[in-house]
Amino acid sequence: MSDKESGGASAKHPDLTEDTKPDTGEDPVPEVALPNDFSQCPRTDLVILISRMLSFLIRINDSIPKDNSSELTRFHSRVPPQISVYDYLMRLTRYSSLEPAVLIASVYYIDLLSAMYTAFSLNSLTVHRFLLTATTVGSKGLCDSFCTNSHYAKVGGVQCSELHVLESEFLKRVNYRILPRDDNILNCKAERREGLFVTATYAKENRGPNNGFNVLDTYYQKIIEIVGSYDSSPDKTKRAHYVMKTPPAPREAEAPKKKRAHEESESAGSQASSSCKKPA
Amino acid sequence: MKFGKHLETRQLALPEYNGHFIDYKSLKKLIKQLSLPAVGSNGILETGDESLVHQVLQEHKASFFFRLERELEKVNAYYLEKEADLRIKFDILRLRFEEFEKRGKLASKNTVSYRHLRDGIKKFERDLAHLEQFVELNRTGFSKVLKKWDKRSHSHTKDFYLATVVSVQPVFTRNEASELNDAVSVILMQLNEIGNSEDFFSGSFNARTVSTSYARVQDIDPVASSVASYSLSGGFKPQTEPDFFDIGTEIESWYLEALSIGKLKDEEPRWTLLRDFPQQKVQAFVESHVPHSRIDKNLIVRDALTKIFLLLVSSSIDDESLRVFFESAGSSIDLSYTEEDDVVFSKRNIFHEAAICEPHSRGFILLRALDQCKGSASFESTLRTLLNAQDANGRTPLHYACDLGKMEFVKLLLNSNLLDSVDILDNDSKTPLVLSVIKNQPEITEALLVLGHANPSPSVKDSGKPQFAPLNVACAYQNFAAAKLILDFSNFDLSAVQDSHGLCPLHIVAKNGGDAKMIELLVSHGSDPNRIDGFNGWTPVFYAIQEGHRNTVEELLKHGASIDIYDEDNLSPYFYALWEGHLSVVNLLRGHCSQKTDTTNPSMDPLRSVLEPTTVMRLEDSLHGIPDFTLPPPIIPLRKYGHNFLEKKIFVNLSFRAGTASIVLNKEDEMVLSSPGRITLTSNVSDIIPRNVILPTEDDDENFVVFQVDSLDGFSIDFEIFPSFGTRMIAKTTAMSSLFKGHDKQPSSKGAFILPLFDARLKNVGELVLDYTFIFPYSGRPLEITKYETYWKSTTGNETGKSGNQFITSSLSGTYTNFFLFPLNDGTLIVSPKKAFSTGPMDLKIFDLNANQLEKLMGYSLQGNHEGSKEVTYEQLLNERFTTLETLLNNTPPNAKLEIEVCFPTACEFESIPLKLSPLVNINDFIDNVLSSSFAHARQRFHNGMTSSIVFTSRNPEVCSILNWKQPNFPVLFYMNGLRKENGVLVKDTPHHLSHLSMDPEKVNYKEPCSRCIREAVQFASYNNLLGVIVPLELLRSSQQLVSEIRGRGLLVIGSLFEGENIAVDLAGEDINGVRTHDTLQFKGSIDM
Repeated sequence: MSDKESGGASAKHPDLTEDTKPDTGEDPVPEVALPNDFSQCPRTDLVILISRMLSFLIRINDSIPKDNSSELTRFHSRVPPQISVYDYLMRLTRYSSLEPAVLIASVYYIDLLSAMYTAFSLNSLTVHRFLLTATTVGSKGLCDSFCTNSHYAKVGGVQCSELHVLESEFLKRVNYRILPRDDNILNCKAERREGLFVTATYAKENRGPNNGFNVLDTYYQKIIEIVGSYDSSPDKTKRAHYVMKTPPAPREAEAPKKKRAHEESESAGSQASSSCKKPA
Repeated sequence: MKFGKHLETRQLALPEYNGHFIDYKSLKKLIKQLSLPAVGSNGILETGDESLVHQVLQEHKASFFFRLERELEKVNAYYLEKEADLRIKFDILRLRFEEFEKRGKLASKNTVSYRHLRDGIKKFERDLAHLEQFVELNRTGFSKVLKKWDKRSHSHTKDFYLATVVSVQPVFTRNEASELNDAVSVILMQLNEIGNSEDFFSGSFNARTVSTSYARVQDIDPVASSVASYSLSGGFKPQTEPDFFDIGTEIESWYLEALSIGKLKDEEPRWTLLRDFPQQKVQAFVESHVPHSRIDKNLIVRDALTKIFLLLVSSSIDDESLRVFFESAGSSIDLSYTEEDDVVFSKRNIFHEAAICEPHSRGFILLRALDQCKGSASFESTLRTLLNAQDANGRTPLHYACDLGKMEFVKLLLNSNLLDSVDILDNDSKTPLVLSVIKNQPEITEALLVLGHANPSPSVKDSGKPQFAPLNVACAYQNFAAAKLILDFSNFDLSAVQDSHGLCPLHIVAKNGGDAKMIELLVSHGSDPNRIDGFNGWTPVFYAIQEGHRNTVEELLKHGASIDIYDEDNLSPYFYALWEGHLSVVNLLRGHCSQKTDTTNPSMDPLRSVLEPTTVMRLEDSLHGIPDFTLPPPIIPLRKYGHNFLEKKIFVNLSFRAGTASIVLNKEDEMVLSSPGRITLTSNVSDIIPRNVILPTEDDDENFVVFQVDSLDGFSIDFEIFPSFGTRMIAKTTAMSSLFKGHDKQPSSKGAFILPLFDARLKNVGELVLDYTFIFPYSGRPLEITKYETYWKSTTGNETGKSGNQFITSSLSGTYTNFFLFPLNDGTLIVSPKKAFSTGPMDLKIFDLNANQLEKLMGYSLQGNHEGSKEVTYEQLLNERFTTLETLLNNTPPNAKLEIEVCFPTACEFESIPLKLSPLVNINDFIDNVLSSSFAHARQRFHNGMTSSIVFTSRNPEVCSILNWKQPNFPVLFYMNGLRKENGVLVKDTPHHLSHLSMDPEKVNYKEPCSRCIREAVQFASYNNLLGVIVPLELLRSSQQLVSEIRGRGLLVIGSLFEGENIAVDLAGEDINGVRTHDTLQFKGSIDM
């Protein structure tokens, strides 16, 4: 079934978006149009999108066999937590009042951390502690107001002392470069290599095509492109197709089907987080 | 938690405030009731649906707060009433003081006025203290009940309501109590000054004043003397009126005169003098001095004689002499006399005074009064009032007679048939019966029960006031005869008797270590030896075990007490015996204990706790509304590397003794009336904030103060002692820096100071005894923590929980080779092969030898690792030869793991074995040397690319704490080893098992703290940040709860084998972190990585 068409059809019945009936495949999946600006996006939808995205990554990464236990990180739980990614992210969002920017930044942090810390990969053992740390760091780094660590720890279900450790681990791994910029990974690597702090930003021409400051916008668009479709996502929490209200810029408006196929094939063998790397 | 019970107990001590306290119980009940409908309406118990309860409670908010406000009003009204009452009393006291002072009646401490006034002030201070307690208890009560409400209804009213409604009430805002307290202290100070100046002047003009010399009293004109003393001391003008006379002053001097006559040795002159006294002195004086125009002289004589008699009754004058005086004065003495204006003072009549007189029976007065009764009915009714009168302490003459054990007097009183009731409560809520039981006067108890028909089992309902049950009192005071009498005279249900703590008679007996007779008596009267009390949820045997009363435990077991029970915390009696370290009880129980292991094994299975997410996190106030949730533990445990240590600073610990034992106030100086309530410690070092220690210190409180100072030069501490309320300092003293100097060269790091205490006038009033510990930083170059990895410890599980699912893991794993290290006479660090303190056929103590002597004795070099040409192996060094620490460390194989047991005899061992310490050795340098060698070893290993792991253990707590404070690199374990197994029975020994070396085995002091009592060992280890404790494995195996309790304090639990015991221990099967055998220390491999 072509999700594009069915999505378009169901857009006329926005009432059905709250429907949580099991997917019988008979009802058309409703389509939800999201605003172009991620800060206007309803957080519930954003949480759904992100949890679809993460579930997607986890499924891929869990299928990669692990050879030894030397790659344990502080983010690893001893056993997979019982709470689903969606529920956990929902809990964090609700009780810690996470901003949309923080939510999207946490997806960006997956790429950043994976690039800088090769032992880390997002899987069912690491996702919860990662999300907690990423949202904590994100809130503190990006928002004007944020909660105390003891509050975040309480919401996240870890001890405060552990959150302190996780937070400092995260920050040290990414060299404190927590503002979403597209040259962060390059800068971090340069810093690691030279052991110096890189202050000079790269020349404009070396930057990404979107001048490095709209990373979150890019991620927002990519997420919708990749997991907006209900059928392709492993996370069936909510029956809905997500689309942008207005079609994205022409360069990004490639056919979703083709894009998705391309991404899947690309990410199957390597770090799953590369699936949302922006096209260079 | 037990505030309700606490409140009830306090109410018993403050009977005048009874019924005016916050009704904590019913408020609690109200909350419970209000939350009930939620359950009722649903028909089913929905324990899970807490929010419904919250909602219902919120709806009933108004009715709860209505009740709370009525309580507040009640407390407030009574407070204001009491406050006004106290204010009036104070004004009277002050007026009286000023009056006395003006009229020169306070010339010395011997005057009657002075004594009266002091008694009055004492009484007033007590009243004031009661009022203060009343305020405090209510304040706590309100805050507790509001907290309860918030908890049940999930609201946040407490802080707001406390701040806006409760705290603004006069009862909580008035500083009246502390103002009055300060004002009283001013009067006391002035009174004291009078005494002092009197002392001073009597020193210089010793012939002039009324002094204690009775011979002189008779000769000196008292008026003149008091005038003289006043003109000198107070700056008063000498009395110019020659005719002025004050009958009060006269009475006083007559009293002293009569008293001194009473002291005469020979009976004849004594009686003659006393017989003539009323006529010759009093009447003659009145005749000659009182102007004829004045009122009836007879009246004056009568009044004067009565007053003298009243004073004499309570004095030490003997009965015969007093009778002579009484008879000669004849009808002039009015037995019904009481001081009318006596509001603030004692309110006692002659019969009170007669009953109070301890050395003499004074029965004749009562007899005479009874004789008088026969004639007149009016006197009988007066006497009835007098005999039933309650004085300022709420006591009748019967109370005093019972209290002092005056059998004759009690019988007279009981037979007089003039007493309204024998069950009157005094201000301590005690009846005469209770007093007689406390004083162990079985005859009086019997008389009260038989003749007076005293109620042996009063209940609260009878009098409306809480009171002591005589049986409980008898049990508490181990008064078998009284208990038997009470039980014989009553046939009440023993199970119904509980004291204010909810303890039954048998619990009380058990707690106080009652003997077989007592237990048998109670059990035969129907006490259930397995009854659970209302306080701890314990049966009697718990109390007996906790207090270590072996015979009581045995007796209880004989009567069927069960020990297979668990209390509220799921702890068994056996656990408490081990925890408190009462070996005799442990041995007894081991015989009785069914050997089955605990079935209540707290699950340590990580998987289970993950699959069933526990809701162990406690809700903090600010985080209400967030549902509980816990992630599974991280796969890499959180580690804590090293521990706090002294880098440069000096650690000074001052500890106060239990209760108020640290403060010794001079007894004879009774001017210090208010008892010490807190000590403030202020240091002259500006960055050290002043500390407060609340007195009396309790066992489980932190009764010590710790300072960390840069240098002891110029470091001094001021101590100021204050009462619990008020700001007037009782005493102060200073510990000067000179006191602290030179302690780094002391043999021991511990000791005690005695400092003199001075009052505000720099008069010595007592002394302050303090125990100190100094720990100095490591003097050499520390092992850099950045370069050499320190040990780590990690704790997972519930941080806040007292015990339960807690894991403690550490970097220690594998097997550590153990050796004994101690200093020789000359300070050489020596490793002893047999782990023994003595050597050779003569049991030479190795401490007493120096390196040369030991070498000669052994016939080989301590340093060398060559025996002639043949090389000595490491094993031989370790097991067969005395060797220096350095040599041994240099010869350790690569990647060796060492457990260095640092031996230094404890203070008790030095004293009671006895051992000598060479002046060249002190504990501070000894440990510095040990660390220097260990650090050098670690550095050398590091350079050679090898690793070496060292663990320090010691049986001496002092060594443990010093080792731990000097460095963060190596872990320190405390080895609790004050017990030994002999023929299957646990016996006590000194920590290093030196009792066989002692000169006199009888005199060995086993009182070393921490050496037997697991509770103390664990407390010590956690206060000093040690990594763990080593406890005999057998004890750990016998009680699973012990392990989780120790682990709950964040300590590693290591089992040790008894000497000679040789059991293979499978660590995987044990729930402990490691095991210490004779030669090795094995750790369980950590679960992660």
